[in-house]
Amino acid sequence: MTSFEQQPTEQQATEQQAAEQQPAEQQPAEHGNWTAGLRRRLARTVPAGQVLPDRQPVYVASWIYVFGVLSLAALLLVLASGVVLTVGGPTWWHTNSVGHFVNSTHLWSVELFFATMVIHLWGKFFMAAWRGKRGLTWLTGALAFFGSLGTAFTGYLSQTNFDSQWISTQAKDGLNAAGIGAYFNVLNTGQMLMWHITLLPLVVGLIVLLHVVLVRRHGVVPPIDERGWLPAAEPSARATPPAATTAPEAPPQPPVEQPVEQPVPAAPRGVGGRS
Amino acid sequence: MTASYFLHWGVVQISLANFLVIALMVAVFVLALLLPFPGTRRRDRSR
Repeated sequence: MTSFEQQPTEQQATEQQAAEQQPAEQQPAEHGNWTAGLRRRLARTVPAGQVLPDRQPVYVASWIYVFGVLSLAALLLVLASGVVLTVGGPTWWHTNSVGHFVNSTHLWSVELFFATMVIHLWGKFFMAAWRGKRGLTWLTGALAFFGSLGTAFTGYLSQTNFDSQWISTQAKDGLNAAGIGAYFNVLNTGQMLMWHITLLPLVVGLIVLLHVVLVRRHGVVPPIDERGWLPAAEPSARATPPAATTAPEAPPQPPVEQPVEQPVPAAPRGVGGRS
Repeated sequence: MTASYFLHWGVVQISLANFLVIALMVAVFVLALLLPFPGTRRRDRSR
């Protein structure tokens, strides 16, 4: 909701002038204004300048840190080719040469998405990427992976060919054995197609968006220090006293950023670390 | 359509195509750890 300003009365102007002279922390909070509340919330979520940073910590200069954004790029290609397939429909992608090409692009971008996402997962697992209050980042990454599995599965069911028929009949028995077969029917092509093109992409897209926001909020995880569990390059996790971490509104401070062209310090080693 | 060629190690069975994809992913992972990133220089330890 947007508030509209009216001409203030003399008494209101006096009160407003007195309020502006108070320190910022003593000024009354704006109530009932969703726009201002959303603006404050967004400003608190990601530290200033960290939404689209053009400088990264020096330890990010490693190929292992590339696979997260490669996964995002592959996901965008998946979504773009999927939109084109949605416009054309099954008859088009089965019979038209351009449809064949877009269908193959959709398949191979999914293969690329999963390959880069799994390598991203390996890298983050071995550098214990949940350190430094990044547990929710790790959790949303895992949820994105499992959500992508379901999306890919319903995609295989939506091929409308003998492969999808075989996969659905085999999966039916497995899902029924797992006790979840009553909630959906993998033999229902219409239901699985709808899940694949609307429900699951929406869920995966929101989880991935939250994952990226959390990465920007907490910064890229540094490599494991050879001297201990927490690296020195992570001030928020080592130097901050426990009492300060309980402040609910304070956004975390990302690691100190340096241009990647600078020489790599010798201290950080391990996965992704360069010495 | 021909059947996939499968590899067998005891109870483990995997198609050759899937095995090659996994092996390629492991190779890319190892190379990502070992290959130098362009635009960076190693610290001169003699200084």
